[in-house]
Amino acid sequence: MEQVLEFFCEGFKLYGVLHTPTTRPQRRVVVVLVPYGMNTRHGPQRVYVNLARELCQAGYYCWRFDSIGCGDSEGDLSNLSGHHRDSAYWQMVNNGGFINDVCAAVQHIKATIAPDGILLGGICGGAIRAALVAAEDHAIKGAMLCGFPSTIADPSATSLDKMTERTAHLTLKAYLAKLTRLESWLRLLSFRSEYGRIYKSLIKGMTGKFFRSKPATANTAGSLSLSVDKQPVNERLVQAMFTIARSDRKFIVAFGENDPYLHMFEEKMEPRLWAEAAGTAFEKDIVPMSNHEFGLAEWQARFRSGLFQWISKHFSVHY
Amino acid sequence: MQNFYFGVEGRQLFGCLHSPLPAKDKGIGFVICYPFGHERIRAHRVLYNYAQSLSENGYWVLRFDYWGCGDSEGSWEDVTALTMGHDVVEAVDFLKGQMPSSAQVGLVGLRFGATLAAEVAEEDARIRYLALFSPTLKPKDYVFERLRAYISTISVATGKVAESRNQIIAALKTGKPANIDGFHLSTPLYLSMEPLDLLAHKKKFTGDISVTEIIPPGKEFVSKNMSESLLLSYGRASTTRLGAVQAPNFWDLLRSYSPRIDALASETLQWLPSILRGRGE
Repeated sequence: MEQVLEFFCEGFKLYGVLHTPTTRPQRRVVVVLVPYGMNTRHGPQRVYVNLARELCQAGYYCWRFDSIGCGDSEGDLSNLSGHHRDSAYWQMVNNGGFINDVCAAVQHIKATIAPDGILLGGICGGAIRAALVAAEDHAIKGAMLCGFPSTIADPSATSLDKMTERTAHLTLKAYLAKLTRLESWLRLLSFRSEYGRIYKSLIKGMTGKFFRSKPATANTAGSLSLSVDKQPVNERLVQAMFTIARSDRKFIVAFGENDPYLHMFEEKMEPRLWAEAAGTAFEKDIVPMSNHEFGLAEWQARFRSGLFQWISKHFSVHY
Repeated sequence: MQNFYFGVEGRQLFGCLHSPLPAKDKGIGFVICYPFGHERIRAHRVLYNYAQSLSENGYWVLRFDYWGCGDSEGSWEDVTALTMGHDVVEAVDFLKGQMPSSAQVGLVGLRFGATLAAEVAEEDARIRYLALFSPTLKPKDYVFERLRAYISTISVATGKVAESRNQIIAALKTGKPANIDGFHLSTPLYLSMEPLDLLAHKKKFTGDISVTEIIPPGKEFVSKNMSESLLLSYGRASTTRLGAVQAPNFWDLLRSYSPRIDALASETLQWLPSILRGRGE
């Protein structure tokens, strides 16, 4: 069953959808999904809706909601500065902003169904907000942190800015293969090609080949782009993960294999997590070939399946 | 605003009704027809604010999710243009049931939602007003254009050259699905979109129609001829109006996020009273 619920935060009325399993489980475990960016409760390509329905079939409650000023909730984000709205939003998320509505959503679900366990998860900025809230609220027993940036630089930079060696190499390979096609030459010579992408893939693909600091493997992307390499780690996020791990709770990180944020995570955050958390508290899931937003139906299915398995393994709805 | 589910069990649709204050009620309601796939996600907040503005000015507005989309029941893999058109009719039924019996109904559509709204208005005599924002005149051309992003995604993921767009379309017609901006494109969905062409035939619609092109700041109204051709096909309409609004293409994945475009509501709020005044209503 899916029902609309209302709750309040900072004087605004917010909306969400609660998925309730048809057969009452022995343990009430609720999965709360935090929206990504300034988007709606549905997740990219409706992935939250599909995940919630799959979890619900297996006996889990699932709670998706719209943040203040987003989706169908009240509030207004249009005062975030004009053309730089995305950047302004991101800076606030990176600095611990936009978590009051997540806290309010968690409190509302506690009051509504009195759960035995709460899991909190999200994609991209939703993952950062979920981690920060989970760290402070010990009723949250697990966190699912997906496709998040590990540094505090502006994640709204273009995909070209964030292109990793692996992505550049694959892009360059695809462009080289296109040289045999008349259609591709026509596009190139009629100024319809993406020259920025070609240039970046050439520079990054070629220099990576000859000056690589660390070889790329099937599971890693190789070195980060230079601009990303200089960015400071989001210490607030690292500390939140440490807090979760030290308090005997669990979290999973999930990324697409071709997500630049995976490579940020592997280089800047993961070694510290292994050192601190000794690998017992967190697991990592990589969706093969996928991009940041799990942009193909098969990648979305694989992404959902990874989370589903992790939840089922650690948080049973049966005693 | 009220959020709820409506429709029959197993095929319930998610809706948001923006009701006017009784003292301001103008006795006209609109169903908003959302665009396709990722454009729907990007446009959501703009259409929310559009609906709020209209209801504050005395109009009823129903926003809803097509079956298989948003919070509605069903799976996107089973959606076709026909099911979406059916959902628009169902939403009109629902809105009619909420308003005073004398109230009139209109459709507002953005992009592919505008295409659907125009198609439904051809068959449903209850539709009195039609407001189309940057309609997707030929959905198959839109699909063809968006397949470039799909090819790029595949190429970057595999390092191989994906099939050409024509090859993908040919395969799609024989049952091999494709993908647009992360949304599964099934054969039935494509085949249901392919024959749609808003310029192809003279329209039967006898109500009032407004076509508004949303033109990014600094750009020319390059599709003016097409919009005029579209309006010319509405020879039986009571009134026709062509408008243009300077605003970013807020539905576009690559553009900066826009939560509100007040000029859209202004267009509608100027258009409706001008019609009613013209008739002495």
